[in-house]
Amino acid sequence: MNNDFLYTIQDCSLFSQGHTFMSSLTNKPGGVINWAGCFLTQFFYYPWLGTLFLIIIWTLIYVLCVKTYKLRTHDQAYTIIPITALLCSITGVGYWIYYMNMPGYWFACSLGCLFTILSLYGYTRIKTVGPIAISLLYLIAITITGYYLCGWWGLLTAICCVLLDIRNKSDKRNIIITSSVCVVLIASVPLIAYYMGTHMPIEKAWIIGFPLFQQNSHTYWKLSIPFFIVIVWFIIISLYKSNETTSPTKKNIRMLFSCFIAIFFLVTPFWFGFNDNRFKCELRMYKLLDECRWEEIIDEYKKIEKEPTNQMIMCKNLALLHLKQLGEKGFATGMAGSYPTKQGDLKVAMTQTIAPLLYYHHGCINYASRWALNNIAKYGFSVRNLKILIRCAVINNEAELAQKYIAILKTTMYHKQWANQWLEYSFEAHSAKESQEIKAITPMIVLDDMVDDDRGMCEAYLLDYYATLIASTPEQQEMALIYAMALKDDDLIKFQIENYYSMFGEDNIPIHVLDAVDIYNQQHSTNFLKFVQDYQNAIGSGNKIVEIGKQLKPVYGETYWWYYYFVNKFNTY
Amino acid sequence: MNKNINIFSVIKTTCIILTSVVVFSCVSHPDVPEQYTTEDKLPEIYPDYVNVVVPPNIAPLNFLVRNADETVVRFTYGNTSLTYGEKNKVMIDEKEWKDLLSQAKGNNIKVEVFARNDNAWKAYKAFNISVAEEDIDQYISYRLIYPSYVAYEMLSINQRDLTSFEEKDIYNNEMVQTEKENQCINCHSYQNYKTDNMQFHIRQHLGGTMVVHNGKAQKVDLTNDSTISAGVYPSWHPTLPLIAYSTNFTRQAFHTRDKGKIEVIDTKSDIILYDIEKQEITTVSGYSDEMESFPCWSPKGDMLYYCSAHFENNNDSVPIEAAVFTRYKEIQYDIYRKPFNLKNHSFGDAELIYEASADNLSATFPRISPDGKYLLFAMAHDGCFHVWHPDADLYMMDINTKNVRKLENVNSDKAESFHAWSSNGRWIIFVSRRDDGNYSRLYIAYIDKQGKAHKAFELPQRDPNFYTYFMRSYNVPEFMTEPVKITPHEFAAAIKKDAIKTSYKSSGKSREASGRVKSVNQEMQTDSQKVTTPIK
Repeated sequence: MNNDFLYTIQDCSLFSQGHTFMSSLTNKPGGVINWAGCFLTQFFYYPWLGTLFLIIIWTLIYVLCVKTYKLRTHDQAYTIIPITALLCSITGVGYWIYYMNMPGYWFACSLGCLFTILSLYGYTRIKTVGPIAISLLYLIAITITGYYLCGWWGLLTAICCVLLDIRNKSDKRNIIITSSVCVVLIASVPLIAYYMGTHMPIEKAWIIGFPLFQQNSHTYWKLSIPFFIVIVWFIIISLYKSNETTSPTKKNIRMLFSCFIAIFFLVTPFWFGFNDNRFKCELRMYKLLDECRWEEIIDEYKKIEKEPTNQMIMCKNLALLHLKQLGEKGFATGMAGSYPTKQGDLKVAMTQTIAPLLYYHHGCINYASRWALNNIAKYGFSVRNLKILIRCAVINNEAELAQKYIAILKTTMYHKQWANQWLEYSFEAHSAKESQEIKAITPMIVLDDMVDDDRGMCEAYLLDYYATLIASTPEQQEMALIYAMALKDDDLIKFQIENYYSMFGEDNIPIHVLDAVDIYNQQHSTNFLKFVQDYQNAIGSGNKIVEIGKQLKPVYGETYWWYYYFVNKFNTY
Repeated sequence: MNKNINIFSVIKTTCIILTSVVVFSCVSHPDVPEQYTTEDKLPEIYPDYVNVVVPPNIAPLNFLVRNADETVVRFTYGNTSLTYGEKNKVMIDEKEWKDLLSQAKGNNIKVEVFARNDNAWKAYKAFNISVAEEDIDQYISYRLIYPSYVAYEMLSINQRDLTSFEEKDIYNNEMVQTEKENQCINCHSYQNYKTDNMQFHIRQHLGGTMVVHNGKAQKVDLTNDSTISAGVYPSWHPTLPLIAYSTNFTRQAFHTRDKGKIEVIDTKSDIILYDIEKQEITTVSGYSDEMESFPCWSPKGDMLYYCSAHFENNNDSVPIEAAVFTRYKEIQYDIYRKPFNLKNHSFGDAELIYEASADNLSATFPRISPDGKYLLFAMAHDGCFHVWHPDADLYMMDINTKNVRKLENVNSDKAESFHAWSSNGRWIIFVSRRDDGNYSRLYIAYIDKQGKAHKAFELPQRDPNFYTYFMRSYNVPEFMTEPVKITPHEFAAAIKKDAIKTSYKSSGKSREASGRVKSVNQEMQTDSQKVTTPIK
């Protein structure tokens, strides 16, 4: 977990002040902590600030646990367990950040946990002063309000209340009464909520709000483990009596055990976390692309030690295009990437990770807005997708639509300035044209309309779209030729080379284009002939193509020839 | 006792009444400013209720005044004068509004807007809200959907009481779908504006058609080997237990540049008839080079109107789907009708009612007025899914004269479609994207006794800013004279059950039996004497 991840958390979330947003979340049990979670998530705009809020909540949980369960010093380390589990539930998310429809997830679970422990603390206090009737009323109240505010946490709270009674060896009759009331509450409260009009499958009523990470037919249980640990911990700790021991040996053993538990769980988040450098790099590159910081994208790309993902390559290509280096360095810096690092069975597709922004920068405005809206419908509101919708509406001259989206973005805490800037663009075409970002996008927009479908494959679509394009601007032509070359379709390459020459003339032709021309020309350059010679020599010595590629890479790895002859696997996702 | 009445609805209703009492007792009526300058122009209000005709039972027309820091609005009829204003919003008390409308029935309410900017008040030119004599049906239902058309999350069919702001779910796909299995719902439809006989479709997860017959809900499976698909666009017969459906093979693609954004295209379609009691399907019209769709019964049930587009794939090497997408601009629908024998349930020959393609246009979604005089339809250059066509407008044909006219007061420069008549034929409701081009909203227009359409107004909401923050589109509005009585939970329970399988009865008009080479037009040329426009 790093600053980029924390920033992305708020970028993939949205808190909008006002009744419409609030009611959209709070119309079902557990929605209130989702809403509150969204509110707090926006503070990750400054990663340290969001982290501070998390630490405050976790500290409160720690203090309340110690007080509620009256934990002795040597047992207090156990309180680290739920807090660590909550931390793990954040560090382990990885690519699921794009696929989870759990608004405010990053704080909601901590808030649910805080509600439970706060309610249990209240229960212990009431038990000490009031008669059973009062504690029963309290139990009913916290179960109902807990269920409405926090979903399944409310039911867990009710169970823990009974377990606390058992631990405290309350009067047997009282335990039976409390247990019976608890069972009735757990059985009936979700049912009542369901029949009162909550939209959920009935079987989900008892686990509403419990984080499940599902995609198609797969459930990724690993990310739910922290919550199972929290449940088990609450059950055990509610039954556990933290006694003072007089034996120094026993004391030492318990202290040692506590220390071991504490250390184990402190290390766990690092082991549990999704610490993939390419993922982090993708997050950084998204932000840089979002802000059109072309040089920094290239700098970031250069830092990659492993094979880059296709997403990185697409970002890098856009940066090179705007730096007017795509024809010189496009293939030298790598054109075929790989899949992102696997995270269980999760199928990562660019349509969810970066497609709206990629389409936008490639001038495919309708596709950008379509995927942004699609991802909002499927995975919930996010600042980044709302920004894409605003940009697309402004560029499409859909002022009323842009103003609708801007009105929503203006209700956020940290994106008002951006919203106001684009509001100005929506009103004044002149100021929009002066924007560096719009200046970069405009030449990429193809004015002719076409009806087609990307079938959920953003990168494949963009390559094909540009490779077959009759370009009308230099930027489009550069991209069209390089993408045709990336596809290695001879007809398309020849077609785009012709278009390229007729648009740019024969001066200052970039090296990759010359490389391509060399392949199809009757008369080859000396360098190409040498490459062919080396290639034939390597074949003669009986090497396989892959081996030959590796062998020739140090010398020819930066040429288009090497890509053309040795890169045969083009992953797209 | 109504089975919907349970303890929770009683509690809920009590809460609403109590809240209303509290709110009512707190209604504030601001004073009209004493000093102001006069502006000789109409105020910019949203939604636009300037000079509209409204039903006498419509919910308050709350609105906001654009570019105002504060506003006071005075509604005057006779001796009654009411003022409202909260910042730039006008939030009208429901009880006072109802009283005012009942007094002003058949007359005009004068509306004066005073707006403050900085410290200066100005009074805009007054306008009228005309209150019609005729009520509007109390209920409407519609589907709410994100305008993304790929993701099915959060789909619901809702019903709204037009006399208040109360909106309820009829069914919501979140009741049954899971993260693993999504569900689409669409095409709700009623018999004669009543809800004891209604239907809607469920696609994908636990798919089928939910048919409510005599108040009993059951899921049926309308698929069979002899038809293109399960039923799609429905039309209940007004008196018999019959539903006419189109069966469509529908695909969608996306515009790279046009503001229409999405192109929903049928690559083939037919018309079928479903007999609810026999649970039997027959083909009404199914020709391979015709795409028949959008069935609609006449009010007496003796005629079935529908649309059909003639399309021939001349190149066998090109799959029909590819051919349709390549030549989608050529696909234009005309309007036909077929007589229906109420006794033996047989159909006569097709009659071309309006050849839109002759005018290089495509007419869809025919809807006959309850008095049978007018045919309302949507028309754009091409295609069948006009809700995504910015050039789509509403047109009306006088059935007797066949005269077609564009409803100028009703249309905008954005898409208009999915229209429906109220049961008394004085109101139409339709979908329009005029607010922002992307999100479809509901508009209502008055049709007077001469068939003239008056300026349409947007479905009022309690908060006039509601539509700004609401991210879903409205589609397929339908009037009802009573609410749907089956609860969403009962629908969910019925959906979870296995669908009842229907049978197919060959009528000699299936795609296979009627011969693919013979076109509807050829048939009409020989069999019908009523063709009013030239044959293609």
